[in-house]
Amino acid sequence: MTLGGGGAIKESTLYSDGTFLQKFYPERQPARDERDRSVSLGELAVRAGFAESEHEYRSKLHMFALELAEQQIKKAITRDQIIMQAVDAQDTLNSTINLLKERFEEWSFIKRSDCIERDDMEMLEELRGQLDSLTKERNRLEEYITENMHGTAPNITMIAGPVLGARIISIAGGLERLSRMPSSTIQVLGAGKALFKHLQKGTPPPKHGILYQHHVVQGAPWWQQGKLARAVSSSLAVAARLDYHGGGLNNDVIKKMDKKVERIKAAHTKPSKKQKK
Amino acid sequence: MSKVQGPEAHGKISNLYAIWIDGRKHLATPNLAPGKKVYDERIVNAGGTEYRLWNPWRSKLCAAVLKGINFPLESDSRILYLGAATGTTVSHISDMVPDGIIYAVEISPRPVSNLIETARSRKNVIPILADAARPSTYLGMVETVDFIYQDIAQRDQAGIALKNGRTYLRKGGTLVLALKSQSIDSAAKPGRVFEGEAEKLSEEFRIRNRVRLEPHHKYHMMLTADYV
Repeated sequence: MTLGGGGAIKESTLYSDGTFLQKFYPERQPARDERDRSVSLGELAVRAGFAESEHEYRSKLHMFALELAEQQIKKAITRDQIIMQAVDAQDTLNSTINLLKERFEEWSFIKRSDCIERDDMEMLEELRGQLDSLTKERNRLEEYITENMHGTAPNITMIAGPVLGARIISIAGGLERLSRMPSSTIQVLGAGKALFKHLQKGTPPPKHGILYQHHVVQGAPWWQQGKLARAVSSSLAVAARLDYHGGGLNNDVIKKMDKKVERIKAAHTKPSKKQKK
Repeated sequence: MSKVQGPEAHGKISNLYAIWIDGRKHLATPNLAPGKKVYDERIVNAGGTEYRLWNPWRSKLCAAVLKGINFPLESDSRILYLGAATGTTVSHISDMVPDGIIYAVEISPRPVSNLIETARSRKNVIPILADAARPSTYLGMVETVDFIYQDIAQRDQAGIALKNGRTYLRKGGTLVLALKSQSIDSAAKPGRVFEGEAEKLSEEFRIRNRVRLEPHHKYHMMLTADYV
């Protein structure tokens, strides 16, 4: 291969019968000059007859962009996003309730140990009332999530229950993204910090993230938890794909998961030597 | 009644003014949509024109300008704005380039609905719902521009700027880039993170200026660079 001085790269092959093949390539432009090709969409639009002037093109583009963005927003809102909002609201409510409860109990303690004024009593009662209504609200949210999860993600609900299922969707960033995740990613959803620490510093990888809250994982002895989390996450991966593509409820997924879980429990009645270390 | 002094033009940036209220300096831009507010900004009348005060606590660009960063923005500049969010900073740039155009890209639908509302009364703002990490997705709407302003809380901030620069920035154009060290590496020291990003950029840009945005925005740096 030789570099052609006249702006072309010539490649020639000589065959044994005396004929030869020559290939010409246009000289490859260095990448940094490619950006020199300025484009003015306004000019193009005028030349192509889309608009009388650049000014007109811009005002047409403005209207077009507004309409397009509006339609895209409408399309972007899906059922799973409503579920995500609800479950995130429930999380916020939970922490609020816990904080308020702590405060309430400390206040009650003072009330019991000291003679307290009538005004203070009323204040405390009011706080209790607020706490009660917040708790009611949380329970109502749970019902709402349950209803919606059965409709939108029946398979995930079957595997993980409505609230945990909704939380998993929320961490994954939506049903579509969850449906594209490998089960190994689902297994450690919610353990981002531990996972990146593992990748960067070589600490042991997390066995489970939010899946720790799954009854199969949580109730098991510690040496089985990683294996069980793997079984649950692989079933969840299948469930998410079924739900995203509208496959309807399929009982095979849970049956297979139950079998896997039984097998793991039977095969690992004790921690292995490696695990004991 | 507070005492208003100014406006006084600000350096190289078109339609950017300093206004003193009771002796305190504020940056302000002439309202392109008089009578309309975009967020909860303060509006001041001076010399028969309505000005919107620009809040450095809300806008990184404003904080950077207060810290002395400068760029040759003209009243007819074309700008690609990546990470437009709800459009607070966009609206001030819109005031500054009445004859120009701002292609405002934002990935998240919720802020875009605010951006659309802002854009309705501002003809120079083109809202685009798209991912700035994939510049080819808005090829049909955005043309070659004079400026890229980027304020995105994502990991590969320099990479996104490079990709968009290659596709849309004219030769000699300017990049104004807000870097957030926390979204690149929350464990490393900000200074070191900024170094690394600047180095990546210097493959294709000539870096002109850098300022840290403390106290207005912690762990942030604003950088200007020329496309050479």
